[in-house]
Amino acid sequence: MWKKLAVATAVAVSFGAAVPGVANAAGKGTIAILVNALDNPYYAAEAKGAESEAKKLGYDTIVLSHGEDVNKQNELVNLVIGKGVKGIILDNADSNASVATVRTAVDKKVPVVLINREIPKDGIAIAQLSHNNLQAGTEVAQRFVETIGEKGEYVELTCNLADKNCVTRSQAFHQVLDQYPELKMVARQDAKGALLPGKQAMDSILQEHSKIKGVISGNGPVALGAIASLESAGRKDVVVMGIDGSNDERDSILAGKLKATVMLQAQGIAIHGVDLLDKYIATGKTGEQERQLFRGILITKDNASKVKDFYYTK
Amino acid sequence: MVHPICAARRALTVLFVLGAASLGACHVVTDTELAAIRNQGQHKGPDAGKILSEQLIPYADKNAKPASQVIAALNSNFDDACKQYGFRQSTAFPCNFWLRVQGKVTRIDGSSRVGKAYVDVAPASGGEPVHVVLQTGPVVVGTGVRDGFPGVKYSDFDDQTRFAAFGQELNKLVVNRVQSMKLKVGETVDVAAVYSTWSEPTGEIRAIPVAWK
Repeated sequence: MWKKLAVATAVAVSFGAAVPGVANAAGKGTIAILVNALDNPYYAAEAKGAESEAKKLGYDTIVLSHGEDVNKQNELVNLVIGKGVKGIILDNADSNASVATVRTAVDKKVPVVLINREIPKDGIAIAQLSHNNLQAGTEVAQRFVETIGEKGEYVELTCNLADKNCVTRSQAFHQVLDQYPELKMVARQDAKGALLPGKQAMDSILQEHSKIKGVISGNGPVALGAIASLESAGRKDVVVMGIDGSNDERDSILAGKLKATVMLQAQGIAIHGVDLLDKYIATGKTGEQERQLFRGILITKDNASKVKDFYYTK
Repeated sequence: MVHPICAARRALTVLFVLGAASLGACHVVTDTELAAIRNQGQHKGPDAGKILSEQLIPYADKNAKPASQVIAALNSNFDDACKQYGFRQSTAFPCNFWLRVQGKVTRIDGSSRVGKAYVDVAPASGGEPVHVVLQTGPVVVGTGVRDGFPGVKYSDFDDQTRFAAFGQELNKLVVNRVQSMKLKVGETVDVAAVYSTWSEPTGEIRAIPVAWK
């Protein structure tokens, strides 16, 4: 009950801020942008991209986070539907569990564009835009082999195996690395996608495996956590790579610590999602395929300075 | 193994424990049926071997353009070269170029599992030969074989893992072919090979050989 009240209050406050009075009547209405956690730079970049594009196209916006909680996501979706939003940009809380959430919105004639995470059903969301995690994973894994060589010991720190994108990235790593029989993975641990568990995992792995040449990580915070651990153990010789492309990773690459990452185009995916939603609202169709992939960009010392807020400047 | 499918599993469990189970709202399915239910609305994707032999090899053979011509265009302007000679499914993929590689093998490098055969290709108009590196495996880098063929799209799979497995299967098949040939220095080759790039080339032109004459 209190949780529902809190959510309702948050939405009301956000609406109040985004839509003073009935100001949206003069514009094209309001688009809801729902992402995981706004204190995470990746999701904040998604929200920023979607919000700026929506405003550019004449919409008001409401930006909310579900904190990867499926129940909260459902509550927020129902609340914004009740508020009469024209459409929803959603980075969902769980691929399978979100099928019903998206269906609820569509049944109420509110179109949904999914960004970052797909759902395992076609024809419900008007678009499903995701990062090409396999391309991202294989590119960084190939660079990893080229850097540490085709022989030796390495460690994999996965980001969060409850997240399908993290599973896909791990699969991509192994598609490349498992083709080198003399390259041995001596430890594999899930670091829950965060810096501190990444550091803790690396601390304990280092106790047992001192000969490792490299650490490949499922996301950026975990890679940075591994670097923190290796630095405190005086192991600057160990090559660390990851995926995400945050400003922190960029700075670490420029400082010569992180050797490579792949930048996911968080802003790009969100901007395209809003464009498709706008087109659908105006014409009843997007004119494009429902499922689309976005390329990850390999970032090394050579091009790291082009990264800002998950946007790659040419 | 069978699985009860119903709306209120927890309630059913309680009833079952109490010995008063009622399967009225549920039905029991096998593993195969469960997999089919879960996969409803998803696409399985095409057969790699069939696609390669029946469609992809003929496509590569027909569409490959002289390597020297394509590389010259690429060195001049990537976007123009991609429009004129390349194929890319979307901006999520690199641009893929089918090169006709006709020339002599000048060097074989087997020091890495990414095996390479260096081929000198003489331009039709004369001048210095261009160098193309054919990937000879056992490891092949990239998914150009899959991505350079317009007959297969991501939407045929709707799942990144299956799409990747299909690309790997194609790579395995073309690697088997090139490894069985045991290329040697001095040999003349004529092959349609795919080169994938995001931008103007900065290093070796590494292409995957697909359709051999």
